[in-house]
Amino acid sequence: MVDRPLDEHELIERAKRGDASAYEALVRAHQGIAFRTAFLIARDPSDAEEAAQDGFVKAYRALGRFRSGAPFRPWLLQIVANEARNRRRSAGRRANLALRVVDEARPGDAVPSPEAELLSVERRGELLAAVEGLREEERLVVSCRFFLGLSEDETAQTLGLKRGTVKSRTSRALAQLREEVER
Amino acid sequence: MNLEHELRALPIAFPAEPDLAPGVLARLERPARRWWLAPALVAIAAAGALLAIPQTRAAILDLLRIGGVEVRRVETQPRAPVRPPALGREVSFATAQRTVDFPLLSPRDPFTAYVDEPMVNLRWKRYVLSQWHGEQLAFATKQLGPGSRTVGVSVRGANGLWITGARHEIIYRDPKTDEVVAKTRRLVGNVLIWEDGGITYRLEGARTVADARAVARNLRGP
Repeated sequence: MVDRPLDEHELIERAKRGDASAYEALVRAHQGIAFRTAFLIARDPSDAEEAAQDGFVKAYRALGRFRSGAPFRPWLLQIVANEARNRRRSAGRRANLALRVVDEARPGDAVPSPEAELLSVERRGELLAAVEGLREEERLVVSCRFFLGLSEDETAQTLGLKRGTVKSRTSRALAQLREEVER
Repeated sequence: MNLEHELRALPIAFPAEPDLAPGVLARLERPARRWWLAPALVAIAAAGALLAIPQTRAAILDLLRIGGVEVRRVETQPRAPVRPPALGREVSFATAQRTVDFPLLSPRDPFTAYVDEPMVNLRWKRYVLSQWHGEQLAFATKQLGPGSRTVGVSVRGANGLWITGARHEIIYRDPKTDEVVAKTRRLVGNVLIWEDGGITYRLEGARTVADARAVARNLRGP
């Protein structure tokens, strides 16, 4: 045995054959982005955790249908996003947690990246409020593209949209944000 | 920075990421996980001897333990009469609180409190929440038939277990007399069990794990 980490393709092939430890490595590699994706949709930490966990379990059971060589992350995120949407729907009119930006003064918050430090606290609040004011379909596209760092293709697959729809919603959202924050 | 760069740099405060791997893995494999097994080995011999019910041929396939509840999977379920849950004597919440040495959790909806020492049971809508000091019922056992399923979940930040499927039986050992008492023998449906700070909580009546966790999350705590 060569002592090196298995690449994702090998892990998926092993998991397809029922190797739970290979699937565990995949869960650990993707649980952060899966949880954040679910949170951006469900807006509740417990619902997000359940959606991500259920998503991983469903993805495992669906691995037989996963096309070898295809990108795993957006395929997984699409399943997680569906779970999160279902929870959000069943949560009904319950108030959703508003997103907030990291506050250095708040204990437990992460230290912002050097890029984030270039944004004043006021500017961060202003940008987030503008994003929160978008229509949901545009806000989700903006969240996936910019807050999760997904590509256009990944965003399309995660949200179950055509690539062209992602493009048009992104540019419409950016135009509206510009109007809000660049006056 | 242009707008897109600014959005990318926006430091969103996401909640702490949970470790999903244990919960996911628990649902991929047979339910018994090694980490459940270790603390239960001590109790199994005593519990096995204790249960004076016809289960001699029921092979224990695996065993889980959480808080004051020990979960044993059996091939055949002992034939016990299904009886309505005995919740104990009805008391005010203040009285119930005085019978235990820990702050009780309670629902936000109107409820009725019962004491079945050392356990406090609160009933509302279709739910029953039982709370007790885990140590006091170290031998409380729960027997699962072949059709039931267990899933590890986190509940209010603590380790929990969601048990579904076929009906399962819970048999309590009376801590005072060392005997299995008939009035506390109960058959229940889906159950969420969790343990926090030495206290075991058991919620009956939820139809889904999401419902159970939402109910648990909304309990008024100390």
